[in-house]
Amino acid sequence: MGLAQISVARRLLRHMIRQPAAVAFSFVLPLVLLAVSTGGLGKAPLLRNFPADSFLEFAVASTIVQGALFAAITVGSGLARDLEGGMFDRLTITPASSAVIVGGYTLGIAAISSAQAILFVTVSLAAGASIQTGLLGLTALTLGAVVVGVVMSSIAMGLAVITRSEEAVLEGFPVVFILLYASSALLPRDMIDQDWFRFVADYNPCSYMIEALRSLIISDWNMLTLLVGCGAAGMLLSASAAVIYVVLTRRRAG
Amino acid sequence: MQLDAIGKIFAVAKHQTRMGFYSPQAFIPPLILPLCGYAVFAGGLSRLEDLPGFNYAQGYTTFAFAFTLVMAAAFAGSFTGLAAARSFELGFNSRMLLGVGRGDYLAAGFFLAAWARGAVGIAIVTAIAAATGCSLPQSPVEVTLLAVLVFAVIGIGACWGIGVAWRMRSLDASPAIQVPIIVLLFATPAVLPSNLLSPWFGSIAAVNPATPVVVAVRDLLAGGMPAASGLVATGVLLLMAGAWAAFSSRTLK
Repeated sequence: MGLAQISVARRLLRHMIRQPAAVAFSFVLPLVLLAVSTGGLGKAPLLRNFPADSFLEFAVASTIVQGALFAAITVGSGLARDLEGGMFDRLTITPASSAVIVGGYTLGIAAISSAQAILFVTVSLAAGASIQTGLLGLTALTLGAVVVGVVMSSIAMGLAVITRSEEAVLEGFPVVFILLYASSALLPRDMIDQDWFRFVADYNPCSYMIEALRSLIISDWNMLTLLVGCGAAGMLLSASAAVIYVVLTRRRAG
Repeated sequence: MQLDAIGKIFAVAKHQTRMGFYSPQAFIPPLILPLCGYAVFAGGLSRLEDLPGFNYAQGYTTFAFAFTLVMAAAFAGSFTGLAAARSFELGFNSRMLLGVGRGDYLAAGFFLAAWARGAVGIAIVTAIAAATGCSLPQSPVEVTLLAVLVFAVIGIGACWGIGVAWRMRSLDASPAIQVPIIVLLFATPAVLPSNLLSPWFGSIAAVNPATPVVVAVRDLLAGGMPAASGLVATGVLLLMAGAWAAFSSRTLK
């Protein structure tokens, strides 16, 4: 079964590498948005009580989550395309179960997310950022990026198995993109003046995932923030996994 | 002959305007990103008005709305270009060409439809902004100038989109239409004034022709007259985009 998952993951990665648009979308666009946000909000650290000395260091975490989101859309639309076109059904004829196939997609996104984290952090370090928690923090950051990637892809794959439509997954993208920015992606939650926006950010799981990753970059080890971020990720992952399991099981029974 | 041409152009415009309002897929997307951007900027970034050097008197909500207005206008225009691209892919434009006879008449019809569709979208965005505390200009001169600027931006987006759609004639034109507009818009003082941008980003914004347009809209919303550079930049962009659309529309015979 491990070989089956690796094969599915390799197929996903090969498909992505052969599409320059998918690579640009997942790897280049987040860097462009990082440059734009850093350039536009570079003076934000001048605000009283801003938790970082540089907005670049502040924004790297949201860039990692953003990149995971973009890659997840690619994976989700790929799964939807396989479901729509019957490729998924052909795969389930093999000894590999649906769970193994979905696991293969997850393995693929884990590889993509770790590559994204390494790229984004390398570019940020080259641009002058620093990681307060050192090499161990960098390792934790990469692992955290993998977790976020798996979470985001589980949401996209959940959408894919429900709708079985590539177009529907792509149309869901703006909604999830808004979810990312209705969080503490651009400013810390305690610095958001508008009550309604802070309320949305407080209940947005993306806020806690971003803050967990960010804490590894801009401050010393903060186990509470990391645990809360893991909890938010676990909650989203559990919900998405349950949806995927129920839908695929019912489909097989039907 | 000229009346006949005008009649044909208006017929195309009327059809495209009706299509735009009857189809949620055509009407809603150009509004989503600007409105969500407004919500994120005005809702999430309002603390930025505490930055030393932020001296926009009307407050951050109005500051953010200026960019939202320009973005909504540009998207309203460019999405008409997308509608044209879709019409090409479906073969509908070829059938319409049989009726109107000339590709540039067809393009002109889409251009007018962009203004009609954009006007409704801008009204919705402005109403939401006014309801959320954004200040609007009071004097008739300022309101008129603001409307002229906004419609000019719709025209720029429409001419760009129509030109690309005429050349590519399929929905593959979508990234080519939208990405340059998004890049141009976000390389401006979108969230902070020019004096508070990072130096390298400020240099880019300084040479970006969209920057004077955004600044001009901001000045009008603040109750003042815009600098001449804003009006000149808008005019030049409209002329260039118009020339692009005009030359491209002649490729369809």
